[in-house]
Amino acid sequence: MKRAENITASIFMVLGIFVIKGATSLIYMTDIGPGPGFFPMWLGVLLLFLGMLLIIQNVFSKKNAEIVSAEPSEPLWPGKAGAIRVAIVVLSLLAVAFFISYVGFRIAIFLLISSLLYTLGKQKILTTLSVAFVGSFGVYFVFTHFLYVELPKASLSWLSALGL
Amino acid sequence: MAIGAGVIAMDTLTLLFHGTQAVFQPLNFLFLILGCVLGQAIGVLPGIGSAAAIALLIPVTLNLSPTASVIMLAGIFYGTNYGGTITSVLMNTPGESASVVTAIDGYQMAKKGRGGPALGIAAIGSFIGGTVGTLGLAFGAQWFSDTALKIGASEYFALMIFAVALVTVLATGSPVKALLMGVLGLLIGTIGIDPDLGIPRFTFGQIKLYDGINFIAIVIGFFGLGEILVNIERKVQDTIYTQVGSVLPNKQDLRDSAAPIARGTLIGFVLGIIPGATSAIASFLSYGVEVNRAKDPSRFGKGAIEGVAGPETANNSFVNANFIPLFTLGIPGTASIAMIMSGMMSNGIVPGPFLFRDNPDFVWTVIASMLIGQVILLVFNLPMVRIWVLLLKIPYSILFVLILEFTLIGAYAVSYDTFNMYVMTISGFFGYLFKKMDFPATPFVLTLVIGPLIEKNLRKSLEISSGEFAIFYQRPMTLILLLGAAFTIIWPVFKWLKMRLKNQKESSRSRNGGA
Repeated sequence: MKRAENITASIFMVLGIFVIKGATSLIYMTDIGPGPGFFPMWLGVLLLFLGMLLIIQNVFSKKNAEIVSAEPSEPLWPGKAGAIRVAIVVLSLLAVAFFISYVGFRIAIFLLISSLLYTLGKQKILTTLSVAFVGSFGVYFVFTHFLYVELPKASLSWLSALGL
Repeated sequence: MAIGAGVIAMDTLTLLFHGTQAVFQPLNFLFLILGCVLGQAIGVLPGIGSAAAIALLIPVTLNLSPTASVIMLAGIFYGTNYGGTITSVLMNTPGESASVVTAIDGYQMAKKGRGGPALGIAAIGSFIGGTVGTLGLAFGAQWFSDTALKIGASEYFALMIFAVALVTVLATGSPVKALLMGVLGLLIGTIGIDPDLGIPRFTFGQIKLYDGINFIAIVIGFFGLGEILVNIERKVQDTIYTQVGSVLPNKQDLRDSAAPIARGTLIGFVLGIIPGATSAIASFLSYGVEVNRAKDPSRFGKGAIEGVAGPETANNSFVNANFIPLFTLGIPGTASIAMIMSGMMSNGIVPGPFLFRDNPDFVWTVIASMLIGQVILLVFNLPMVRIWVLLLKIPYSILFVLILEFTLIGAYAVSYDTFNMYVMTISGFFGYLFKKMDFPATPFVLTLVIGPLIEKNLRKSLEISSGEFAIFYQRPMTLILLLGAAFTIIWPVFKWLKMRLKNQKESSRSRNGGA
């Protein structure tokens, strides 16, 4: 936990330096008051300071933590199987974000639901396909016809010709 | 003085009456029912909280009237608490943090076959707490609003800083982590074109970033996807719940619960006004008070009905009082309220001191809808508990995929741009990482929403004073609020240092003793 926190705090500090650097290229003060660089500059300083403070806090509380952590606790990060599940979901969503404008909402969501239900949900093929159909075509119909929310349509000509 | 107060009370009642009439217009009433039903369902279902649900539905509301939209979003917010109780009592798995304390005695009651009365008293307490909270909003908000109209940019800036300080300190875990999250939210709020000079900031030449990063997509990711990622890394457990039985509490139950309900209402209302306090704090505080006041505290944890009645009432009173700082100051106290604020702004309604003056029809209709919403929730909750329990039969393995789909739709529909799907997914992944490391999300969401307002008022204050920082210590109210904020942040650090010094002294004393 402490190691992960220290890494995160370091990332915050690097971000702080980056923001300070970015803010210096903006106008700090104008004739009438603070410029666009004023607020980010101070936020960068705060990030740097707080990141440092978190590391210092962790270093100081290390001894206490060693005494307290005699009891075994739940591991912070998932095992390999858990990490794979998390990665599958994140990558699937990114894939949908990429392909949805080409294949349209209905195809992209049908593939997302069916693949996730089959692999992670361990559902039977019939349940998988039924839920995927309702979740994609059914939801599309409800959103576009009743809620007036337009969802992406396929830009690929052959899919577009099919009305998808 | 008394005549003046009487006139104000009469005015409020008249406005509430007009508001009530507007609520019963078909569209408003339909969306009130929809909000309450959705709120109940979301409270019952695992894996999605009110903040993510409200964020998901904001795009849908853009095609509605602002009043119907906010009526629905508010209904989801207070409805969630009613639904969350069901899973706490019957399954010992609280749907949201405020219901954690309800599970302690509620689940024990359910195990003894008294799940029905536990749910019954929770619903009655919630109804009373919610109604009193809303009446407090109706009668108190005008005064708050009039007072807020007298404050200038520097006071407003100081007030928001004070709110942020409270949120970070009252967040669970390390205040340093909470502050880091708060600053991160402020920083993301600076991305885009500078509102004063029109210069792009941190946009890296990307035109899509000129309007800033859409915070609704970020919140959907943080609360919706982040929660799912935390859940799916473990194996999904089967749903086990106890039987409901009759939901009507007996006379003894009502006698035992009357005082806890009264105390819970007061605790929830007072905490609801303070930005940063959470409904979990309100319910835990109420539970603590009931344990302390009990003749036999050992009954608590074994199925004491007071342990359900007090916290559930506090929780709902809190939720409704939460609208006071939003409607009168434009300051959201919790993540869900921050989402309602963004829902209001997306629909062209600006919360804050001018809300009552500029949009009286809107604000009184929403307040009246909250009163009627309590009745709807009571009617939907008590006799229909068994129907809500049916929702729990949907396997999580199917539910999580559908929630994922709605996170994508919500992110896309907010500006009809697939770019927000990326923003949502990446935010969700970071939300998951931050959750794992106990970095609280609420300060991040709060500053994300009010960050641009903080910067605007900071710059406006310094423009008024020609760049002189003296404006922050020469105006008494500004100074008091800023000192309050500084004290709020420094106090936990001081306490931590004091504890460390004490520990060091004790360890050196034991070493010397050992030698």
